[in-house]
Amino acid sequence: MMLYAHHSNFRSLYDGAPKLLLLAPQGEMLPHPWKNSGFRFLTLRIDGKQRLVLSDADGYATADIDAKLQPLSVPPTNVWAIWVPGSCDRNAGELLMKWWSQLAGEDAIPRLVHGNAATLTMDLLAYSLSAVAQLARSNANLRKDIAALRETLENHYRIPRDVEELLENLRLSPLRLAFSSPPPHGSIAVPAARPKNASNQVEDCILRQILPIGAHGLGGLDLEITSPGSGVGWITAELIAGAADAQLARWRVPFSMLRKGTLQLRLDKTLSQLHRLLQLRIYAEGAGEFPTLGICSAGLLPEYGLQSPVGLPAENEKQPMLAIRIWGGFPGVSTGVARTAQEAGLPLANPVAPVSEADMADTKLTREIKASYPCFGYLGDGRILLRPLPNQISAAVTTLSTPDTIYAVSCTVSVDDNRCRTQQLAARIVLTPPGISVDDAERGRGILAASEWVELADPTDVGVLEARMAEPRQGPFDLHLFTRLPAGGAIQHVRMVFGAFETELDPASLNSMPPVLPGADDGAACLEAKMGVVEG
Amino acid sequence: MHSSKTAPIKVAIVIPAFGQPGFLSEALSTSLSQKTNFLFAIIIVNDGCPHLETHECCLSFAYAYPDKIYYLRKRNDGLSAARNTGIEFALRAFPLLESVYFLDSDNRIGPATLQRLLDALQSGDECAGWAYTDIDKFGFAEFGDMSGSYSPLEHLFRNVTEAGSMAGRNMLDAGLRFDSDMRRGCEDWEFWLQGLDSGFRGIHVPNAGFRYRRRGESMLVAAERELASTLEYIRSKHSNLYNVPSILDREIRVRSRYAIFHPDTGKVSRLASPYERETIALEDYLILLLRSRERPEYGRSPGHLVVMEEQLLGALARRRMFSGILWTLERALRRSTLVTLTLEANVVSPPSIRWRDETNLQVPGGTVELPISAPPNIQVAAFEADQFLKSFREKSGFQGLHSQIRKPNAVHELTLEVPEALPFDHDASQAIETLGKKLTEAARRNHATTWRSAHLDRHRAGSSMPWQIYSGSSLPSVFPCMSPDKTRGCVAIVIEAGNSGELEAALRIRDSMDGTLSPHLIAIGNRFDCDIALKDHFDEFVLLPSLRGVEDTSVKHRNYSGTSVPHPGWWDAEAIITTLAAYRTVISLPNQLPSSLMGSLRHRGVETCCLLALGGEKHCSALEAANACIAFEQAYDKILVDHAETFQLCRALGIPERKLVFLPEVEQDGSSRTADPEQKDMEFLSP
Repeated sequence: MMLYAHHSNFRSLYDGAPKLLLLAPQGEMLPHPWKNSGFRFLTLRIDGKQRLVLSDADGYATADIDAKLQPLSVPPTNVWAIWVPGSCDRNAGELLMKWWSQLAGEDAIPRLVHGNAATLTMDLLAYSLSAVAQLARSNANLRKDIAALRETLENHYRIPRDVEELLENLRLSPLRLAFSSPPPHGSIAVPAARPKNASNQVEDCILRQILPIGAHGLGGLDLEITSPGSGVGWITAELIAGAADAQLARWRVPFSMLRKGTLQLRLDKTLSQLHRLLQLRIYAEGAGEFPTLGICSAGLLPEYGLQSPVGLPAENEKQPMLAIRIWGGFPGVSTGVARTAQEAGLPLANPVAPVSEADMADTKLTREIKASYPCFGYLGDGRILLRPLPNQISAAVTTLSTPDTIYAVSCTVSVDDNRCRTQQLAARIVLTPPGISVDDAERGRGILAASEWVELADPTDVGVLEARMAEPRQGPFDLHLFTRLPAGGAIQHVRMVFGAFETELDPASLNSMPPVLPGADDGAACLEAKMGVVEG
Repeated sequence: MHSSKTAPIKVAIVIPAFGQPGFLSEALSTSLSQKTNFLFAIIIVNDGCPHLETHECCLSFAYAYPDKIYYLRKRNDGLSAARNTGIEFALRAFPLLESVYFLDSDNRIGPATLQRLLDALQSGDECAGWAYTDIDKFGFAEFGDMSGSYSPLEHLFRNVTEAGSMAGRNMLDAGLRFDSDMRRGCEDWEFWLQGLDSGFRGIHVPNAGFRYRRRGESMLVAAERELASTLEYIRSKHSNLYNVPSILDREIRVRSRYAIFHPDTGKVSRLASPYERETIALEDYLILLLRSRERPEYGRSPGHLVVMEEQLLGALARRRMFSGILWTLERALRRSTLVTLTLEANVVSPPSIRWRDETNLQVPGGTVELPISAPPNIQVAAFEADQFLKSFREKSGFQGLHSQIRKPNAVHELTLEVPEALPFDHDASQAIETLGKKLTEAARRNHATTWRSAHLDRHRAGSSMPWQIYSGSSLPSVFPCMSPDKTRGCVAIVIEAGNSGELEAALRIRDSMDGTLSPHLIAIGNRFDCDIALKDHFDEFVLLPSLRGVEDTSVKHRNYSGTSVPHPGWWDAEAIITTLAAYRTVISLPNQLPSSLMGSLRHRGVETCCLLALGGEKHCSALEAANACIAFEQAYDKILVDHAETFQLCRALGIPERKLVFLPEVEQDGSSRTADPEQKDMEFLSP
């Protein structure tokens, strides 16, 4: 059996409005009380081509055989009942229900009501009451679910419990350098945003920089102010989530607070949203000479180039980008930047930057190893293999070319072969000025800092090594790596791998202005707090 | 909210619903939140879900949003059928529809998704069939970066277009629908491959805001268990796309196999075949290479890097030997970090071409220091582009090629003796050093280290290697055969190198071909003596040696009813199959190495022919030839005979007559023997 519908009412058969299907003999009029009841009445008619056509009860002339009809492969939606008036044979209704079942399954068949208008009324009333009750239950359940969800969000952390404990022990987690652009080679003036007009603010007078990092864990970013400008005005930076076009943060800093150097834009807490694409939009408002920002070459990936309303100075014809540093940390954790002096109870943790892969890739052996299997090498992603040997402490060195002033160097050590059974494998790092020999480094002569020998009680352990100097110092440095076997230890599968090399930076050396937090006018507020003015 | 009663609906979002009623609300909410400059509708198709909550959710939303949400409830018939039902309804209900967006009920979209995808489709050409975006997974979080230009080649082996994509009206009007027989996943991949098979292309849209919920037992996870059989089904259904010649044709057009640095011109050629070559500046190539490890752009950075002077390339191409030589280097490279080739002039009579090779054992964790030889005499060197990238250090520069641990050989040194001296000015191994320096400079100039540390998704990054696109055919690569005019079908005539009788037979076959086919001569062996200019008779000549340290050179023999039939070792078999797999037709002799492999070639769609030619150095009798042929007769489409006696013997031994084709023998004076009325016409080689 195939049913059809006129093209003009085809799609409305599938909307959510409640419907009743009347199977009355052709030409029979609808009972008067049922018009304008809120139901949509459908009826089946046979057209001039003997096709079963579903139509509105008071529309569609049966003689119109040229009407454009659509076959129905799915029954109409939200049909409460098929009504067969008492005087009619119910077989037609049962046939229709069979059609319904074949196309939509047993659960979707509407009820068949055979009787007069009063019978239909009682049936619909009972169904309505049942539907209301069901809706009330659903509503109640929904409210309870939302309440439970709210309670969970308020009272439970959404990061793993072990990370939560680590953060509690640390009190504050340092911001880590997630991305650092090449050094600046030029400048660009921050454009003046046009004032809002009657329709929309004209957005072409802003600098737009796509960031090579997502929102999750973002704690802040640094811009280079090459000229602080003069006059009265504000520089505004907006952090926009690309896909949603949502503003995640907005910093506004008066010209009077700027100086040449690093402008630190920070967030209260590292972001926990999962937006992948971020864009930084920068513009200025006011009068006078506007500040300029440092720019550098985007190099290999011009898709991260800067979009500017004016021409951009290029280095060797390469697309420029903003000279920028991006800092990150554990999502949802305080960055430690206080709005007021009262909030600033604990000292800020020093920022941390990873040692560049280029430095680690250049690690060299300082004691010869003779073996028929790989004992040393750069494994990629900043990891160094250095196997200990019997009766010999293995050693390697690399030069750290970081331009920053640092307090310490740290790394991890582990065994990357799960067949290893040797316990008490040990590793050590030593930080020295360039040129110190491996033997002197091992003996502690002329060194700057050294970790203790860290032993891995179990080959599955991960050890953390830190070489911390008494005073911050600027490089370059040599970083010596050492590994050793325990006495009598088996040498099979002892692939000791160093990784996660980081330096702890001295923030005072970063030539930075005090950090700025987002807010309507709070750029000034945070700077004032740092200058000792207590907020009321 | 706009009324859709008068204004046209341009986009329909089809959401199949089965289970997951809670997540369905999120999908619907994010669909309703679309910010567009056109009208759109949402079509929910309840695929017979047994959970009442699904129906209630669908109905609630449909009731609350008339003229925006349409709800179809049908019997359970699978995800594909549900999507098709939504498509059919959309096409009928909205005559001015421009596209359909598919959203699974547990996923979400950002407010700009529809607008951005439709804008991309509208700005594409007539081949633009669908728009797709990155796959931002939440739950088990992961980011699937699908950026870069759409690559049909990559799409064959990687599902770059998930279900959260938009199909244009043109694709739907072409009758493309989801395959309702596929109920174990990857039905979306197959649907977009239908588009590719019909001539459409995808367009990537960055940052469109599609979010994919990844859970422990989602349909995707379940699909991964059945992946092998599902992929087999897809390949079988789309044999137009997945047959070896079709893949090779795409590979040649994309030029994704070899990057050849020319130290004489300072330029780089990208190619798979010399007849489809692109030459670019070295700096541009180095940037392509450096970018290849950061951003996906499949096919732009070829996986094999070769050093060869352009004048030498031209000389070899004119002699029709270029592709064959490069192919031998590629084969050797599968087991070596570096392959070098020295071309020596060896003026002997008769003129001969001969391969010689030596291999060095792997130095564990070592570096192949360059230059290799003194005095310098290496004309060609080949290595993997990605290994070259791994070997340079931005601080200390390039100091040699790091050995690849997974390969047993560090260096494979090959020598090819040729009848005449070929042009040569630059030692290739020295040129690698130069290339390394240039790479270091380019890396520093373009701040490559900066981007190495950026947190980008690199799962699709890397240079392109043949095994990626041919692994579905269980092949590591195929010989890139092509006719010089790029249009004619290629026929491989396979002979044993050094057998003059077989060469004569090959020339006879070649002479009998019309101009619609491109004849290639494949000689198996290390030495080939020939006093004719092969380039005058064949469009390509490949001397296919057995490579020491690569292939098992001990040929075994089996006895079939008294006739000895050679049987290749595993490596030789792979060398022969990969060399011949892309040909339209392969013609070989019955008692040769390839005989036992004809079945495998035929299974891959190659037309296989056996030439029963008598004479030559083996002095093979008609009976021996016919007997050897019978051993593998089922693997041949046609059997060519050049003697009436052989023809009759073949029939007598049971070879079906319809397979037999009589090849008119050329008399000594060059004339053809008159055709016997019983003999068949030589139509077998017409295209």
